[in-house]
Amino acid sequence: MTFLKLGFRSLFRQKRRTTLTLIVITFGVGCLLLTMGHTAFVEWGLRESTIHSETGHLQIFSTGHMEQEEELILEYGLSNYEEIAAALDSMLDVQLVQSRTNLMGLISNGEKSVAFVGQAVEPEKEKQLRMMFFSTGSSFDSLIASQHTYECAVLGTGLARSLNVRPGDWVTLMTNTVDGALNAVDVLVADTVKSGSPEMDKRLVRIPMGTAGILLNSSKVEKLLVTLDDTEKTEAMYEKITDMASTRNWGITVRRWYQETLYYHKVRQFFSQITGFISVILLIIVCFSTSNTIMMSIVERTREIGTLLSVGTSKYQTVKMFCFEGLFLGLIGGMMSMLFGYVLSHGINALNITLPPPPGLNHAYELSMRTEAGFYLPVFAVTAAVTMISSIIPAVRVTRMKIVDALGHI
Amino acid sequence: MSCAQIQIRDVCKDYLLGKTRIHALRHVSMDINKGDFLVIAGPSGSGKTTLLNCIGLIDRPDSGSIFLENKKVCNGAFSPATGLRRDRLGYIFQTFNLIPVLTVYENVEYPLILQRIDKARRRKMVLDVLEKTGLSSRTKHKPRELSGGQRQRVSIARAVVKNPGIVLADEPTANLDSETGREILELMQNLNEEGITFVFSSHDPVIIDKGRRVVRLHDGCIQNIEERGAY
Repeated sequence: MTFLKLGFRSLFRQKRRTTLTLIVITFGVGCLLLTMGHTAFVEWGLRESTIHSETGHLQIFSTGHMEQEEELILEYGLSNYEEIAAALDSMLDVQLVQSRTNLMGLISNGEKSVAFVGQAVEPEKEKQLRMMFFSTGSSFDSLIASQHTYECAVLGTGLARSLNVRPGDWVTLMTNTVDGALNAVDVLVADTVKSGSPEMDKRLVRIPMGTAGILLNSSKVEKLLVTLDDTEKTEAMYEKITDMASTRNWGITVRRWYQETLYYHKVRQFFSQITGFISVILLIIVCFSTSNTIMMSIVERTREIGTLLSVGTSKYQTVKMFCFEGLFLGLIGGMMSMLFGYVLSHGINALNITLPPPPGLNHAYELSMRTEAGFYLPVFAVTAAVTMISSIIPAVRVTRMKIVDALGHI
Repeated sequence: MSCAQIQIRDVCKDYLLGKTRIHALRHVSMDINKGDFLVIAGPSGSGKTTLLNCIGLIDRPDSGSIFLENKKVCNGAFSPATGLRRDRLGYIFQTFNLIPVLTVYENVEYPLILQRIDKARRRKMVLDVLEKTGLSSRTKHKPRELSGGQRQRVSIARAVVKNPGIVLADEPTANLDSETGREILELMQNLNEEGITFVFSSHDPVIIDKGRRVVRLHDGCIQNIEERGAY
């Protein structure tokens, strides 16, 4: 208790120096929290946008689809998907169940044919899915409006430009059916869309599930997407659906969203490396700054340390005292950093700053920071630990001092 | 087996000042008895502080031995010396050396905390010694709020609170005016009458006169030991 008291009170002897060190810690660790906050926002945004545009929280395939290579499209498609969808739709926490089929083929304007990468979707549900996160799903409005009147498609902007077609023009989609025969369907270009990736926009075709059924000559779908009301419930729902499938003999395999998103993992890893690197640099700065403060404190208090040793304070107790001093510096600095990070994050978020599109994307993104206890508290603990550890070296130097030299120090 | 509380035998200590070797202590031998009020006198550079530091285990002689209650202590490892300093020896410094961030009460209490004495007993011991040293009304003051004489009283209280048996004082009145110095000396005499051994250094003739035994040092050698018997 006495050493805690000594350590704490010693912080306030040289108020200017302690303040300067606290500013360094606050600024350094605060910036680290901002970086981590932005990284967390990007990761969260990427995760949720991936889930709410590509994967859903869970994907359901037929067991054969996952275990064997398809020679023909939908060879291992889901034929009982309506039964499965109806059962899942009624489950608590499930917000949406929708079918999807990926296909490839050729698209022609009559003069020019190019390869396309297609997605057969349920337009109303796709719109709903996007509305959950993006608060807009207008890219599916034209499909919703046209699907019951004409066979129709939405083309990526790059693909439409390449074929020189506009909404209202007709194009022909050609692909193999489930039997391997070549089939073609004329479709109305209902709209053009930007997918977010310029490369994807040069190949993208979205068609309603009904049009896909005609084109592929099949009533099967490739997969079902299940979207939940909360990403955190993914594991629990995975267990439930897996159990249900085995009880009801559905012959399906359930995949979680993160098993289907290689890109998300790569981006996350990339950000982790950047954040890790910045963290190390900032913590080294904090470490040196604290060490320097303690070192200066030791030089100033050499005679006092000699006195403490001469009245019977042990080496260990002396080191402990300086470690407490470093710990308090870290605790105060850590709290100030959290406050700094929190206030600045919310300030930046309130400004609604947008950044230019990063390479590979064609839309701007928001400069936003998340403030979560999940990384604020560990950073606080690490700051306290780093400042305490950085006090050890100067403190150990104290104990090597000869008492008589320390007492004679001016 | 000697009845002396401290026995100093053939102690030598040299310092290097640049390339020059200074003989601070040369074959010093003497006994300090329980209840002594012993002054180590001598001019500046005679080795008073060095001898006091060696007796107090805050410096080590190059050769020779020091016995504390018949146990050889001068060549011990750091830890036993720490224990002896904590339990058996008290220090009074010329420049008071109080901990500035602690109050008077906390400064005096500090050695007892090192001894792991329980809080209630500690409180009684501290208040008793503060009463004896005339500091009862200053318990909550920080050292910077005290006069030189009061600071030295705190230093004495800190040294004697643990009942150390031996108190060492390096020129305890050197930084005080003569009147305050006299008061401090009287306080030390009163505590000595309660059985605490005092060993202090001084070159002030007035202070030296108060010693019951006076050891005169010159160039690191004992010139003579004067036995007086009374203050």
